[in-house]
Amino acid sequence: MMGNYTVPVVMGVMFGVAARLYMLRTDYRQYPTYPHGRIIHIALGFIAALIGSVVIPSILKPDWTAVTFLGLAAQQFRDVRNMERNMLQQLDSMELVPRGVSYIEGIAQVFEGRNYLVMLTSLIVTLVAIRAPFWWAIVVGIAMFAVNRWLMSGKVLGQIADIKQGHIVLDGPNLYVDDIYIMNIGLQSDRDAIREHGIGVVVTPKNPNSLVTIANLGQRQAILHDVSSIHGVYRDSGEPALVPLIKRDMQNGRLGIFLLPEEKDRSKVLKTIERVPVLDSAIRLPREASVNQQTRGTR
Amino acid sequence: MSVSLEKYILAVITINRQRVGGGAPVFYADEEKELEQIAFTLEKILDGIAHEITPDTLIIVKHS
Repeated sequence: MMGNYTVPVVMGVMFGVAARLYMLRTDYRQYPTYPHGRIIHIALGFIAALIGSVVIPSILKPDWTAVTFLGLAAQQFRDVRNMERNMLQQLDSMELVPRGVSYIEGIAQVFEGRNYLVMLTSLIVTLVAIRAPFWWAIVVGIAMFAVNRWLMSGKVLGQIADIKQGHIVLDGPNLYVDDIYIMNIGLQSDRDAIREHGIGVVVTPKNPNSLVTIANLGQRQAILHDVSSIHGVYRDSGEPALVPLIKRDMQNGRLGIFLLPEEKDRSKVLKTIERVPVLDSAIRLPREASVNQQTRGTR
Repeated sequence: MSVSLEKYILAVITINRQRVGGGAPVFYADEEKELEQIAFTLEKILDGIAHEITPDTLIIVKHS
């Protein structure tokens, strides 16, 4: 009986693991760490693929005990998020510019979510392989890659806000980016370093929803971390005054970003900020609230 | 950095003896160059940021 399902299950597992590999890209964030971090995730992806691809055969058999156990096994993947969160939090204290808790939570969520997508891919590929000709499963498997890509893609900062270059202004001890106050710098030597290495950027929200989103402290920290990890940071321990910071203009929600990149290429820095992911936890949609819907109607 | 739990003054450096006092250690300087020098040294040692309160008084603050 089980022999009938060998080919579909193998195909499901193969496509599931392939999907995990496809979604496991070590990019500028250098996460997951190469090579050992990747091995962990490929192994977990394999287990997820196996779970996903035996669901349909065990329902068709029908073996309800197996189905129940598969449900339990799938629950274990909730731990992936814990694992990622703990590890990243431990490492964060050693970063010159930390990721911040919101960014870490976002990454951890993504890792958990990807395993469920692997299960879904395997499940669908196996189902098609059982019910339809062999090559249909391959077509569906490839289509699932596109679906996964679509499901995993979030917004980037450039889509919700305008990013422009700002000017670093030092008025006595006070540091401004354009007209947004950043901080008070007491030492002349620090001011000189800031004049030489500092870059100012102003982020203007495109609508009332993005105004609240970019005000989120976690989102701001994510911007600082991304720029620092890609363009380096002119900073060291024991140099507390040289710290990249983002402050908000409370009048209109603009952000003044003060950066200290190692590589002072303004256009590259602006591009990097445009591509900073918008964190799930930072997204707010106040315009969708019923209160705001009503006022819009009466006006 | 994203969450400022507490900030406290680690040291005060001043040229003007009449205008400071209180709990934090106070360092007196004779002129601006010395003020800068003391603040620089303390900033590096204490890992706190030097802020200018008035042109003749600096404080070292720990942001954590």
